[in-house]
Amino acid sequence: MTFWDCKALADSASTHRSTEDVDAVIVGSGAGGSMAAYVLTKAGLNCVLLEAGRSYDATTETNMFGGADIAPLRGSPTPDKPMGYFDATVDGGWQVPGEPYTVADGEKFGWWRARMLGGRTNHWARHVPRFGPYDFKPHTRDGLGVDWPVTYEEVSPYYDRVEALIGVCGGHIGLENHPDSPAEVLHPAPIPRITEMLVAAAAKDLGIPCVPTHTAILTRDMPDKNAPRSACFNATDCGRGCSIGAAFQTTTSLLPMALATGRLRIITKAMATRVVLKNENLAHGVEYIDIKSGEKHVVGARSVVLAASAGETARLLLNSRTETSPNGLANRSGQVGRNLMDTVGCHVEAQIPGLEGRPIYNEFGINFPHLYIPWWLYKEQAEGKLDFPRGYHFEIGGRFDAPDLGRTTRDLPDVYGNQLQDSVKKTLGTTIHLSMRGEMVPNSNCFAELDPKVVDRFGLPVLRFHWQWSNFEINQVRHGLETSNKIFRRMGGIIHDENVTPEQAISTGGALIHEAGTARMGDNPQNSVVDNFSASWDIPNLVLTDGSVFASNPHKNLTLTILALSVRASERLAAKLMSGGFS
Amino acid sequence: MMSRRETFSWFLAVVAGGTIPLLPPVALADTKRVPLTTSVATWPDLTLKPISASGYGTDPDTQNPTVPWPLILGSNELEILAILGNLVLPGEGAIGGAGDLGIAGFLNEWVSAPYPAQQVDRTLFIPLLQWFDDQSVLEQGCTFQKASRQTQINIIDELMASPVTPIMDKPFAAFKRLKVVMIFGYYSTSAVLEEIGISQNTPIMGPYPGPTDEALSHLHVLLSSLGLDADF
Repeated sequence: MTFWDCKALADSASTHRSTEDVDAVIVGSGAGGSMAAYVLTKAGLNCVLLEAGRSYDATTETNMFGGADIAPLRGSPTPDKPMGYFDATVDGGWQVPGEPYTVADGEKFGWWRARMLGGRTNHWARHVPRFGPYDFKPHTRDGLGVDWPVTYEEVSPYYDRVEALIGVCGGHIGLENHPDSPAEVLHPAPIPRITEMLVAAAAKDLGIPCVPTHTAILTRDMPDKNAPRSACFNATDCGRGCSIGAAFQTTTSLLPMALATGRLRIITKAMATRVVLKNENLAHGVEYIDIKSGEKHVVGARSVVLAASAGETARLLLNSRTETSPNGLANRSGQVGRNLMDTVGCHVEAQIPGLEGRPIYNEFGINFPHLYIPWWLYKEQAEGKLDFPRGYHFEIGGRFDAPDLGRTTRDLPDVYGNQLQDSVKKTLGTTIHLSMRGEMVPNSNCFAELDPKVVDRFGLPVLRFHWQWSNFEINQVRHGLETSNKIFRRMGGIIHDENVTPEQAISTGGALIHEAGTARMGDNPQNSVVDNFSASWDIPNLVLTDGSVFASNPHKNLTLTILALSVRASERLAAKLMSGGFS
Repeated sequence: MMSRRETFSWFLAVVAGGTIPLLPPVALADTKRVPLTTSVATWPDLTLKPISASGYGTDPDTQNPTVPWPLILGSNELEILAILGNLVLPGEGAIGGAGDLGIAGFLNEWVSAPYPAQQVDRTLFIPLLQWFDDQSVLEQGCTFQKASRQTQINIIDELMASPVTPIMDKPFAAFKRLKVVMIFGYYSTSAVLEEIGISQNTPIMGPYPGPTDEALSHLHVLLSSLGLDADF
């Protein structure tokens, strides 16, 4: 888009209908946006929240108990529903109809999006470890990337409050750089499964810890007048959504609580197109397209909160460029779209003959891992004994479940009839997998920019992604493969794909759906987009509350930290607005 | 559009009409492999029409699942699949075999789906069904469903043989994949899962109780045999 195209777009805004002026207009209803709406409305401020997708009610739309045999293709993943028929994601996945993205030639990147109220909180894995003190100061420890402009001690109180608000079950960890939560905050941890106990025993024998997972699943009721939530009943797939509210998603918690204040208006099917400015240094509101009518509107507001996801927030800023900000809004640092990170992933599984024929019991539990293996080699890393600077963890999978189309079924012997049925039953509950989740180091080859040629169905330039893992991540995966293989061998397991290389095993960029860093926070406006309270250096009444602000992306899943930083940023914004700021 | 329930009902109606001879379960241990008496049929060179139907879209009504694409298999192919289903997976306890439980309907839905993975399977399964007929004609001069049970078993036995001869490469690979999808289809049936004791969608109110004493005892024996400490 040329400068003149930008000007034409800006000029056309004058013909738009302007809706009400409010204290804040929020873009995105996922974790960061919904938390901002909750905090700001509870503080007495009037907000409008724009969501590009349709409205969604988990209490009525979630098919909790439907068996696979009522679903097309037994619920198998398809391009229409890449995580299976019953997955909660609406109008999304790796592709959104009419809203493409591009990837640089010869590179690979996947971008998972949802177009629904609640965004990606409706189907996520609910694993909510805290970042630790080291995680906020990675550059200080290893000289790579940048430090955050906040410390663990500063964020810790917000973790406490968020965990209490969203409901987190789990137990004591007691390990270096894996902060514990106040005991009174956590819901009781579920008892481990047999498969997890076996992994824990093997890991312990190898000097590797295995501890209770912290998961955003209720194991006791959370009564609330407006958003009552019930304890998990240990039976259904959380990826479908949760009609009883046991699994945290904003549509059964933060959003109804914010709506109950009477100070939140949600506009769905509203595709934000740009941030509108009052002057060079102050935002006036957000322009959006009403997807149903095709009309453009502007919501005027004293402040703007962007929480559209790391990718969409960067795109919105870049598409908001003006004559005086030709490289995009809030981008005097040139860092918008840069420093793109995802979690490093690889998957190792083994069949454990010792588990064959084990007594069957209800092994479903809270759906997600009850135990996991946290990173444990901080000392060795600090001493320079490892050839990669950042840590990883293993999520443990494997329980009694129906045979799927995977390796264990494919490896059944070439028999049929009763022999085949006996083989199937013998292998039930004997496959265990360890999913490695690692921290990448941001590098200059991973970023997002506007594609110069491709636009979406709204005429908006789309993102073009660039992605290359570095040797740090390859070495990290090599270590993860070797470690998981040791654990499986100690269990007497038959490892599937034992000779896979790190280059083959490493996930595609974006595949872990933990994008972050495209508008990072810092203590210097020259090399960061937002300050330590997530407010734009350039436009002080523009606040970002999603993963875009991350200065690094620890392997510890990012949603809890998005929520904690959103509370912190929103309370700061609320204080400014309540004292008459930005009027 | 045909719902899952309708698909199954349709299948049962066909069965009730007597067009699909469902065989009693096979007790394989009692059968004896008999080498094929004739040569092996060549792999059918079929030209399959592309599937152009729409999928269920990105926002289906998951409370009321339906299969929106037309089903493409004919009655002959469905009959072969039903027979194969009962031979491959003859039944769990009081539960009938895969053929009895509608595996043919499921596989029809599968190969008719307009998605890439299913389309790959379609290029394997449809020629395979033709191959079963061709092989049966060579063996006994009739189609697979009209062949004797022994002939049907003989043909499947040949697909289990190892090493695989070059001429059997394609039938072997296709049948191996068909078995995997059959297993997936059969064991994702609620009645079968219940029969083999896999708990799905069975709420436990209150704290998750964890493993039973029996399950823990089994684990402790395993840990002991591996030389692992039970106090983890």
